[in-house]
Amino acid sequence: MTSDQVLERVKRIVVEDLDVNLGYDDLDETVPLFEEGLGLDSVIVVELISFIEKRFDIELGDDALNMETFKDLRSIARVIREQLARQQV
Amino acid sequence: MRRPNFFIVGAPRSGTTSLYAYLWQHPEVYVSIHKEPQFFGSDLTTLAGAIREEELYLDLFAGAGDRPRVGEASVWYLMSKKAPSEIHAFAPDAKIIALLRDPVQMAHSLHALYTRSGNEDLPTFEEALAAEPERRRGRRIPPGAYFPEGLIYTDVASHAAEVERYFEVFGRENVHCIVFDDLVRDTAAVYRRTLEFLGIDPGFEAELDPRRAGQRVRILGIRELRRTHPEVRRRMQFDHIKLHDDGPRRPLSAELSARLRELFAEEVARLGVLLDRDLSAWTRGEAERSATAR
Repeated sequence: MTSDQVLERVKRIVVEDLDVNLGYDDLDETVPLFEEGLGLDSVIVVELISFIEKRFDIELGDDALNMETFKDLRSIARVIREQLARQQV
Repeated sequence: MRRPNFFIVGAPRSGTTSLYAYLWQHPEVYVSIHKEPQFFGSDLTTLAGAIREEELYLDLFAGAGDRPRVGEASVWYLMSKKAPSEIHAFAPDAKIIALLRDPVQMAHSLHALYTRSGNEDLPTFEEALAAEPERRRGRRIPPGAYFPEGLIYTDVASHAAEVERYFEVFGRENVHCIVFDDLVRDTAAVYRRTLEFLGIDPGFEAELDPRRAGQRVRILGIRELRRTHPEVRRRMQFDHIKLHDDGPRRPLSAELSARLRELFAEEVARLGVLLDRDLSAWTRGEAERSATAR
């Protein structure tokens, strides 16, 4: 799966599965996730992680959940790709 | 199941969220992921995010392990007449932390918060204060108000009797009062004294910039939230945390400010005696002038 495909699926999760008032076009993958950017809160981000784990069939451990991961949607997509690559080995 | 053994009891708009973020970072401290569980204070309106079921409340501390200090923060415990005895019955050896702020600044800030959160429908602080006599009789409460007690701003900002109640129930030595001005001016010293009060390593160096501390504990919070009871997560959605930042406030008129300072003068003096601390700067409006300067 390419970076763009992963990012596209993450954006779809945000728009279709989370209880947030955001459209696909609102999702700039380079802005912060929290109040200063997309305005997500921690509870919503935990839901996002759950959906990501289900849809990509991966597990994100505590080590993967750091400030860099939640910098923006592109960073989340990068962590997902790394995890997918690890699981293929 | 661990029980909390320290409580940040208030006051609202007085730095509790920042202090919470500073304490959260300490390796000997475990705090509830849900700030404001409002488990105690049965004389107050139950907020939508409150955790009033004991099993669910104790679940907030399930991850505490063997950390010596386990705590939570609910800002309305200070105002509640019942909370001190209820907390004491539940946790007799608890340590209590109260943050206290210039009442004029605190009440003004609370009004600004409430106009954003929907608890208040009177757009100016002057109007809200003028409505207090009617509101005491249960009138002019906004249809969307979720916490009517909070609308009597002059009561909410009067802390002397509240602090006295905690002193009486827990003993003076178990109640640590922090003056908001000190927290802002010398955060590191206030933090250190708070750790000493809690009997844990006072040398720990936490991130003490409020914004960066918030970002740091947010990540800890996300990890913790994954293990949190789904019902707690659901109720946390009612938290008005996103509204907490002190947004722009219309400055108080000189006339109103002077009137309020006179109104609170006796109260401030009484609190100063209780804390053995000169708080006359509040009566002179020095915090207000420095807030305006900021």
